[in-house]
Amino acid sequence: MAKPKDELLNHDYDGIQEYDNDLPTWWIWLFYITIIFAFVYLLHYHVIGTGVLQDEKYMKQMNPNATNLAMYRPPSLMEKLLSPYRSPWHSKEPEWTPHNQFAFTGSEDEELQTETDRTANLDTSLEPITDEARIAAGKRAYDQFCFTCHGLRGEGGIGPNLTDVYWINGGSFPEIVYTIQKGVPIKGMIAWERQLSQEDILNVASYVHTLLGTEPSNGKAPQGEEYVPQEMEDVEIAEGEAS
Amino acid sequence: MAVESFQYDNKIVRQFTIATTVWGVVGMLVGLIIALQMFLPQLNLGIPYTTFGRLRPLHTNAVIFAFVGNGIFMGVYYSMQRLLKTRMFSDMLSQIHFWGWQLIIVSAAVTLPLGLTTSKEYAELEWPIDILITLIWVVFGWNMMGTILKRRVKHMYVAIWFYIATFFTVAVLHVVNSIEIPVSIMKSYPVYAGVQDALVQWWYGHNAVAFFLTTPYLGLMYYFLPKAANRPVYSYRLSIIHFWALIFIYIWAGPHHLLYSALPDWAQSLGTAFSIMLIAPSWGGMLNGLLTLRGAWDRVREDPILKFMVVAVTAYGMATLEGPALSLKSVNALSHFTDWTIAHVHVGALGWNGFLTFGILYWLVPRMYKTKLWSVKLANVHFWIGSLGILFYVIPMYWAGVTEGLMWKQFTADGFLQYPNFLETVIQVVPMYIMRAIGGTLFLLGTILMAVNLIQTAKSGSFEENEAAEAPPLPKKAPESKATGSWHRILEGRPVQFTILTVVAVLIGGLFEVVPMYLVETNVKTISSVKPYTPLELEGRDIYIREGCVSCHSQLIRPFRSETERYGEYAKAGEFVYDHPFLWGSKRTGPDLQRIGGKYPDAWHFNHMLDPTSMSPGSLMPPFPWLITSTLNTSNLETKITQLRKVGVDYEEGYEKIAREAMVTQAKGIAKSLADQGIEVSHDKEIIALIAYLQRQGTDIQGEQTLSGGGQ
Repeated sequence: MAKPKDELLNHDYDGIQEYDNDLPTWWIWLFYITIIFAFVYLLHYHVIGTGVLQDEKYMKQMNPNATNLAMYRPPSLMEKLLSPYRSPWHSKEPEWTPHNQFAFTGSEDEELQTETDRTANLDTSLEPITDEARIAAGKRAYDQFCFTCHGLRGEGGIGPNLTDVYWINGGSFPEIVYTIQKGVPIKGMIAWERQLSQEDILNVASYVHTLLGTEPSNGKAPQGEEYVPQEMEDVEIAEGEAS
Repeated sequence: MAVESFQYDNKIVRQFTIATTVWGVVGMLVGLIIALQMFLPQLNLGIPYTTFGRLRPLHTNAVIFAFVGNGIFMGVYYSMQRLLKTRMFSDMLSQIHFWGWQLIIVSAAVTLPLGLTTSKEYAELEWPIDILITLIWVVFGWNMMGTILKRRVKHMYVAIWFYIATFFTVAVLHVVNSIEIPVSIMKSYPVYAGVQDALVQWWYGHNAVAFFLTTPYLGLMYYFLPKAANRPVYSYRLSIIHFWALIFIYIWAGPHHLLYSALPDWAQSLGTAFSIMLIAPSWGGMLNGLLTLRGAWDRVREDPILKFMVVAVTAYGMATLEGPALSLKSVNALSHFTDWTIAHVHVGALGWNGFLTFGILYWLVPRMYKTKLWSVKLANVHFWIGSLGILFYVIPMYWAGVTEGLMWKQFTADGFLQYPNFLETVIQVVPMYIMRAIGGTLFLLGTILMAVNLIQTAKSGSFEENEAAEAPPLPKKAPESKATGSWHRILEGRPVQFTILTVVAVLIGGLFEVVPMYLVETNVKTISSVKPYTPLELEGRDIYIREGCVSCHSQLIRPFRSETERYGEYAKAGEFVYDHPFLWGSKRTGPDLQRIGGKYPDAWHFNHMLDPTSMSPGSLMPPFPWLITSTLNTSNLETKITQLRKVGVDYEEGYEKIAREAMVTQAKGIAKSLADQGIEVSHDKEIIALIAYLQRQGTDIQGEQTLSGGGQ
C-alpha cells in the first residue's frame, strides 16, 4: 500500500476533519474480485446452467450411479431463451416440476406395505439368536430406543406389552423382526431399518424374544391376537402330560 | 457574517443514555437467563411466562430495539445537533420519540412473555405495537429531516448519510414485513404465506441487522471515533464509495438465510452473490475506522474508550467477513440451524454494537456532565471482563456449531446415521452451553460495572440541559465552490436529492427479489394434496406459535441425504402455501418438526409435553404442563377462518359456520385415542389442538410419494 498522502480537505464537522487518502489497492482488488465472483456465480448457475443446483445435487447424493438426473435441473436462462432450439443435452422432460421428484426418492425399491406384501416379504427362516453377547447388545439398543414406548422391562406403555402372548402385528419371530424393520407408521411404530442395521434389529428382536413370559408386575393389558410360540406350546403340552 | 447563538438539547441525549444503559442490563440479563435454561430448563420455574420460547424473543427484541435502539438515538441526537450546528427540529417531537419508544419496549416486555407474538424473528410484536412503532419511527424521521433542513452547515457529514439511510430503509422494511391481517386486538396473520413469507421475513431480518445494527452504528462510529481519537477521518472518498456500495448491496443479501431451503434457487443464488460482494463495502467502514486511529495507537493502549472502539470495529470486520462466508452454500450446509449462527450474531452484538455503545457512553457521559470519568481503572476492568466475556461466549458456540453440524451429517460405514437420536447431538454440546453462560455472565457483569461508573460520574458532575453554541447561519444561496465541487460534494449539500437517491438504492434490491416471487407463478409449484389446516390444527398451530416452539425447532427439511434419512422427504415450496406465518425457524436446539406428523402416537406427544424426559431421557426441552390443564380459547375461530380466507387460504365459503363442529369432532377423536392409551383428558384442552397440529405436520404430501424413501 502506497504511503497515504494525508492531505486535509477543507471539511470541518464539529471539529472532525477529513483526509482524502486513496483507497488501499488491495481493498479495490478485493471489491473487483468479489464482483467478478458474483457475476460468474450467477452465470454458472442460472444463465449458462452449468452449475448443479440443490435438487439435482440431492438426487446425486441419493443415487450416486444415476445418469439421468438432468430432469432435476431447472432450465437456465439461456435454455429458456433458446427454447425453440432446446439444447440436445437437456432431458426429454418438457417442463421441470418438483412433482417428479416424489417418484424418485428412495435408493431401494419398496412396495406398498399391504397385508399380502407383509406375509410375502417375511423371511420365515429367521430364528432368535441365542448368543449372550448379541442379546446383550440387543438389550443396549432396546434400552436406548425402545423403552420409551414399550417400557424398561417390555411391560408396555404407549406401545403394547411385549412380554405377553398377545401381538397386534404377529408374534412369530420373523413377524417381530419385520415389524421392527418396517414399523407400523399409522400407530407410531418407527421403521427402524433406517436407523439400525439388520444385525442390530436381529439383536433387539432376540432380546425382545427373551422377555416373553416374564410377566412384569405393571404389564399393560393384552392387545391383539394370541400367538403361542411353538416352544411354549411344547412346554405346555409337556406340563399337561406331566400332570 | 453575524453569528447566531443557540442551544443544544442535552436533555434528550441524557434520557436516551439512561434508557440505553438500563435496557442494556435488562436485555443481557434475559439473555443470561435463557442461556442458563439451555442446560437447566427447570429455571423457568414451571411458569409459562418465563419459558425459553417466550423469553428468547424478549431477549432479542430487548437487545436490538431497546439497548441498541436507544443507543442509536442517543448518538444520533448528540451528534446530529453538533454536526449540523443546530438544535433538534422540535423538542416536542424529541420527547414523543423518547417516551413512545420506551412505551413500545414496555409493551414488548409485557406481550412477549404472554405469548402474544407473530413468531417472525425480530418482528414478533403484534399489530397494534407495529402501528405504534411505525408512528414513533415517523416522528423520529420527521424530527431528523426537520433538523437537517434547518441546519447551519451546508454539507452533510458521512454520519448523517448513514442516519438517513437507516431511517428510510427501516421504515420500508418494517412496514412491508408487518403487513398482517388482524383477527383480534392481539392476534394477526401475515398476508404472506410460506415461501413468500420466508423471503419477506428474511429480507427484513437480514436488513434489520444491516440497517438497525450496522448503518446507524457506522454513522455513530464516524462521529465518535474521530472525536475520541482526535484524528482526522482517513479517507473521504472511501466514505463515499463504501456508503453507496454498502446500502445498495446489503438489501439483496437476505435470501442467504434460506440457502438449501424451499426458496427458488435463483433467489438463493442472488443472496449468495450479493453477500460475497458485500465484503469490501463492509470492510471499507472498518478500514476507515481503524486507519483513522493511525498516529493514535499509543493512546489506544491507555484509553479504555479507544480500546472499546478498536475491538468494536475489529469485531465488525470479523462478523462481516464471516457473514459472506456463511452465505456460501457449502459452508451454510454445515452451519445453518446450528449454534454457529448464534456465535456469529454475538460477535456482532457483543463486539460491534456492545463495545461501540460502551465506548460512546464512556466518552459522552463525562462531557455532558462537564467532568471526568469517575474511574478510568474501572472502565479498563470493564474492557477486559467484557472482552473475556465475548471470547467465552463465541468460542464455545463456534465449537458447538461445528460439532452439531458434523454430528447431524455423520453416516456410519453401513450407510446409517451415526447419531440417529437427535438428543445425542444436544447432550454433546451441553458443556459448551455452560461455558457460554459463563461468558454471558462476564459480559453482563462488565455492563453493570459500567452503569456504576457512569452513575458515579454523573453524581460528580453538573448536567446542563441546554448547552450554548454559536454558528453563522447558512446563506440562502451558498455559492458552490468550484474547486471542491465534485458531484458528490454538491449532493451532500442537497438533503432531499440525497435522500431520494438513497431510497432508490435500497429499494432496487428489495423489488428485484420480492416482486418476481409474486409475478412468476412457477416459483411456487402447487401440490394438489396440500390442504388448509383443519380448525383444530389451526388453533394448535397458534399454540405452537404462542409457546415459541419455533425458537428451537425448525420446520424445514433441507435437501441432504442426512436430513431426509433423519426427518423424511425434503421441503417443497408447495407444501407451505397455507402457512401464515411460515415457521421454518432458524435454529435447531431440538429436531426438525416438518414431518413429525404420524411419527409417534398421540399418547407419545401427550407424555412428551407433560414431561419431555419421560419419552426422551435427558431431553433439555422444558415441560409444558399448562397445555394439559388450560382450556383452548376458540373464541376467534370463525374470524380466523374468514380472515385467512381473505389472504388466500382455501376455506370454502361458509366453512366458518361449520368449523366449530368439525373442530370438536376432531378433538374428541384425539381425546378418545388418548383414552385408549389410559390417558384421560378433556377434548377441549390446548394439548389436544397441539397434538392435532403436530400430527398433521408434513403428512399432506405422503399421498404423492410412493412409500419408498423419504418419509419413514
